[in-house]
Amino acid sequence: MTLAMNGRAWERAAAPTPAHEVRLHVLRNATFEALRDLTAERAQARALKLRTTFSGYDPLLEVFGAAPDLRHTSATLILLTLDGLQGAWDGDRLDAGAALDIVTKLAHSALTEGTRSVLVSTFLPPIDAGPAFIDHAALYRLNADIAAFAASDPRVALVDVARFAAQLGEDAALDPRFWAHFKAPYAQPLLDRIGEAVAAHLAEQAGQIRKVVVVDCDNTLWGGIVGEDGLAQLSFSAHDAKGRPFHAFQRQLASLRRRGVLLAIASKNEPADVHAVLDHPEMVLRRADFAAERIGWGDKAESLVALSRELGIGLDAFVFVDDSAVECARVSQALPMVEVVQVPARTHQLPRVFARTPGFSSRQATEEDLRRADDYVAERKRAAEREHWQDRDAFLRSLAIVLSVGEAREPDVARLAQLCQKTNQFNLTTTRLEAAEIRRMMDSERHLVVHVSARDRFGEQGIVGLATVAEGEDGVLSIGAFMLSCRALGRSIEHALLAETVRLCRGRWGAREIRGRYAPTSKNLQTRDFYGAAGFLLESESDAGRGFVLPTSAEIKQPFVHRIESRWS
Amino acid sequence: MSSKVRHIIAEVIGVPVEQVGDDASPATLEAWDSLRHMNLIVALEEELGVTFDDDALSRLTSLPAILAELSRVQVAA
Repeated sequence: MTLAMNGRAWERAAAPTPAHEVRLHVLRNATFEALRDLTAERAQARALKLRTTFSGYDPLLEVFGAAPDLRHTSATLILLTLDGLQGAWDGDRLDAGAALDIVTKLAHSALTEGTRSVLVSTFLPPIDAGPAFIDHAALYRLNADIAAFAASDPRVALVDVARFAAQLGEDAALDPRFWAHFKAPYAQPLLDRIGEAVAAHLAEQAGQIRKVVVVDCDNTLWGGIVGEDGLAQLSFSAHDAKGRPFHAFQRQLASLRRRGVLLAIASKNEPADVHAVLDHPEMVLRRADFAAERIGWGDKAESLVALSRELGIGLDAFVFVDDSAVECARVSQALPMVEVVQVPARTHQLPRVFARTPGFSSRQATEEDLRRADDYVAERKRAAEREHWQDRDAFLRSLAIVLSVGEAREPDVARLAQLCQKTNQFNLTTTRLEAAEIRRMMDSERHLVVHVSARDRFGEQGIVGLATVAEGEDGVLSIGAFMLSCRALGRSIEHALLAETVRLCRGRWGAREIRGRYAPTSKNLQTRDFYGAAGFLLESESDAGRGFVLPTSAEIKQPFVHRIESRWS
Repeated sequence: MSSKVRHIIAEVIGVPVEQVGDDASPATLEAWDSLRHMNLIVALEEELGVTFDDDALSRLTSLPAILAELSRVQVAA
């Protein structure tokens, strides 16, 4: 099954249409079909082509009767009303445990049937009960348990319907007329928010994640203009009313940084002025928190392009925050893929600016995340080093790189799954494996999962690459996923990963041909000739990509041979 | 009014307007299901600036019934 799924994932990634096709299944007990178009529109805005299917009105029947095949389903949304939810709500009393049981059963069943992720939603009070509903403690407990369930499993995410309804108010959230006539309880504004949350989840799952926040300084990181007002007059202290919103905003940025989002500065200022503010003890964010900076008098769109190049991260993963309408308009127009956020004129609203800016990863951060920002500081030092060395081999030797490469183990799984989700550039087939799939492959005799970790004299990078191999029914060995983090590019680490993968294949299966594929996307052009240059022969070429084969005795050509040590972590 | 309503029906149900005859209803238009019926009510209310009575909602399942209800609502208004 896994092999077939990989094949399909590859076809999908290689499809010539730019829109990525995704499927959503809704397990529900009321009429929510209006979500179909709403969610599709929001998905469309994220270059996703969405198809939605709905269960019958008793989703448990579907689960315990004829379960649908959810193997092509990107996400399954569980959206239930307490009204008519048998065993959980009898018209008088809410049984929170029974309701939670229904939700978790539906979630597990959908995952077993192959859906890639599940969206669970919080409950509203039973609609028909109205103000007669008094079992608030049970309802809060139920919703807290659902949120905790979502947090406990990386394949499960939360759609907080109860919070959306609270934000809108009951009158705007519910539609009593359509509820009475069509069993359609939610009004358009609530369905809008649900659709938006679902589309944001699907986009994240498809790898569309904002990874970098570029901030302006004056009236964005702090109140006031350092070049005119001077450091003493600036507002950023938590202890005065003018500074508090800026302090709160900096704390949000610091928390995003801890989740692995990179921070950078694009400011029209004198560098010394900005650095003096960043060194102030009452600033939350300090110089070391920023992975890169462009401080000067150049064009901001050009600064963003330069930051993208320096960080090795595409502009479509950038968020840009500035107080100037002119700068915001300039960047929006020149770089439409950047999410532009203008600081509100009323600065007390600054801590709310990200509320409507989705796209930061909602997943739990891995160890590498927490280290990533530091990595970029090390990377800057590496780049400086590079300028001292004329030829590439001498440069690589000077880095004193040590690799650990071999079969993946359980502690690697979370990071490997994250790598699959995030890697776009050096990714041969753009196969987005989930943790469960990686585990299945690790447990299977017919699969091989290979990781590579790297460290050098500037620091430790942890796991930076992944390859998977599958033995087909016919005994053919195929490399499925093959990717290297953009942080490890240009150091010939990909060749070490490939060589070790081939060595492990031959160790397990003996001398056999090994196949590899390149499936083009808009971002992975640099990998088009990777297999060819490494010694594979080009077998086939079409719009869907290129097929390669490595003859039984051929060696992998490595432009640079690294020192390899056994696993150190 | 009849032509405007026919156009709204055609758009919401997803058929060419020529297929929306004078007697259009779920019986003559297969695509006119209960879900599209909900969308149709929303579209009619938005486009024509009316609000249908509760008890009218499930009666409005044909072009003649919709037109009759519209003239009743608008006469009353």
